[in-house]
Amino acid sequence: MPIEINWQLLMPELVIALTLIIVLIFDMFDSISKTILGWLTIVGAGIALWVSIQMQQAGTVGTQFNDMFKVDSFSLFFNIIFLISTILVALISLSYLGKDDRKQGPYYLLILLATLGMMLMAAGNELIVVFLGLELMSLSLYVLAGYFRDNPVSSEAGMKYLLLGAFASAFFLYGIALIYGGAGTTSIPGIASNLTAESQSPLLLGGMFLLIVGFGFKVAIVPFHQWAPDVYEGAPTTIAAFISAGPKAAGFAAFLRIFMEALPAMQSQWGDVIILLAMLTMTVGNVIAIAQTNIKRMLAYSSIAHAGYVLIGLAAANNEGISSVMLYLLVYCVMNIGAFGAVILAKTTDGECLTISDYAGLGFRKPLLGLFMTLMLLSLAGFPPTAGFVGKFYIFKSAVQAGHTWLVIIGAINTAISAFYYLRVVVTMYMREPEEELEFSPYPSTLVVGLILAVIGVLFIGILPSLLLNSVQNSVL
Amino acid sequence: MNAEQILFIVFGGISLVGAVSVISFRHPIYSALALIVTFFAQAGLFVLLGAHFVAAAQVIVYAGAIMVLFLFVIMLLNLGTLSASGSIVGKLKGVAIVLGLLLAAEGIYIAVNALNETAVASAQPTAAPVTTYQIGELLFSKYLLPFEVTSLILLAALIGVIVLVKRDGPDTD
Repeated sequence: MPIEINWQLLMPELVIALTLIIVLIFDMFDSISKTILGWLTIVGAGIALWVSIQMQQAGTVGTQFNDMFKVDSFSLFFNIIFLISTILVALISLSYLGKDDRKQGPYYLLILLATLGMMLMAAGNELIVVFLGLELMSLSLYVLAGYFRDNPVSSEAGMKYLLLGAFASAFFLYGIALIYGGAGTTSIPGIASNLTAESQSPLLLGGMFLLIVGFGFKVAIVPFHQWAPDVYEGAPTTIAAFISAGPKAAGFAAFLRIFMEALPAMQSQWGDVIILLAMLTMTVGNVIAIAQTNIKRMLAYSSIAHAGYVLIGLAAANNEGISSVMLYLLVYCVMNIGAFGAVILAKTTDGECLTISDYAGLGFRKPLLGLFMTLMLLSLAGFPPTAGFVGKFYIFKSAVQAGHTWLVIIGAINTAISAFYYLRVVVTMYMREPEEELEFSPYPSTLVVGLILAVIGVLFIGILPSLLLNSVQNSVL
Repeated sequence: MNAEQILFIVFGGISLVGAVSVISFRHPIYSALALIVTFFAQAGLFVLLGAHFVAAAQVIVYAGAIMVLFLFVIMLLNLGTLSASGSIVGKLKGVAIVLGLLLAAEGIYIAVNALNETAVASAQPTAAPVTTYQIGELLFSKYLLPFEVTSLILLAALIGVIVLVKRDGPDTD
């Protein structure tokens, strides 16, 4: 039985897959300069981004492969988030990887494979496809985290990520198996229709909680967050930026799709769990971030706290909640990659500036770096007129509409806590004298371009959110 | 007694003997080899149940790939004869007995339940045995997307292994 394939629906994925093959082939020839591979990745992701935006504007909807793959405004919007993250990460990686040809090819290949995995997670309409997308993404990320294998810290990060990630995948798969046992199908619409008909079995409940555990690991929600600071600290800084952005968005995309579309009938059970996890994640993330002296660890705890804010929108479980989560994830990806990019920019001749006290006096000695870092941190803290403010505003608004006023109050307190440690870096940069003179490397131009794009994104969304908001509100599930 | 029942007793017996041998040999290599025998006998049982594909997968994946991995680990770690008293195995004997009894109780419970008429009726395979042909057709039609994505996952794993273990000294090639 031949199957009909509508290639147009699969365009963004096909473009990425094609780029993947081209990079793979180009990597084989020694005569080609390998720096071209990074540019190929950027061009491929750029085309896929353009196609996704066109499809999103046109409101393309459809399913493929026996309903396993669902293209709708939701998945296309997440494609846009992933592809923007990939382009920004590739831009800041161009100079970071240096001139070593052997390091280039596999790096961009794995980034493209991870991106494809994320796109499958957002478009998966079947738990099996979501799981395979998750594995494709995770396997690529494990290797990327340990990419600098001459550096023991990087190897340790890769190893930790692999071990804990494998456990998380096992939890996730076990959850899928139990849900299959309870609902009799792994198709997301199928589960939803079977659930309303029959009573909820303990199998489904167990499966649902295992899914929460699995997702909790992947997006670093608090009781399951321990891997994040070690991995972010040890992984190459560009990869820390990548792991903190796209994969987190992909995890939440699948989380939203499964819990809002397949398990809405069980909202009375998972709603309270999500609220509890949101409170824990925000508070623990922000409080521990205060104690950090290493900037990558601080950003890791900050990204844990941001997962908590996203959970507020998820707990609201209404249309406003979903659209605010999508907007927040886009904003978060841009500003977090920007913040990590600013860390890479602060490169001395001995290596990166990783201790916060190294940043003393940088604001005046390196005005451009100071400006980038300040803007990104202000946005992460949620000050107007940056994008971070817009994102937080809509998340909190959706939760108030859903009646979770207490959750919003805790979120607001946490925002105040977070302002302390973000502003501490800014204060260190502008108001403290450096203890020792550091020799700084010149700025790589591609990194500066990447950061300028991130700054434009943050200010654009911050000042004119309405342009994006319409598109987001039309993209809810 | 027909041929099927005789074969069931033969395969079941071999798999039981193999399983007991796995835990009674002192040398890990012998245990691993006995485990292969068990896997093969179980593959035979799957064939009797009409699950040809599962039988083939059992031989290829378990008796083939996973056992090679076991043997590699045993040989790399250079494990000698294990003494039951000194090793961790001896210390955990109590736990092992409790868990084993629990598993046995579970098995007996299922077996007793399966003897009830209703359970037998639902456990009887209603359709014809699923052949490898049908599974192949499903993989290339209904489950085409997961099948293709699996190949991408293998590609990612392949690239990852090369990145992590390839020697990159200045003149290794």
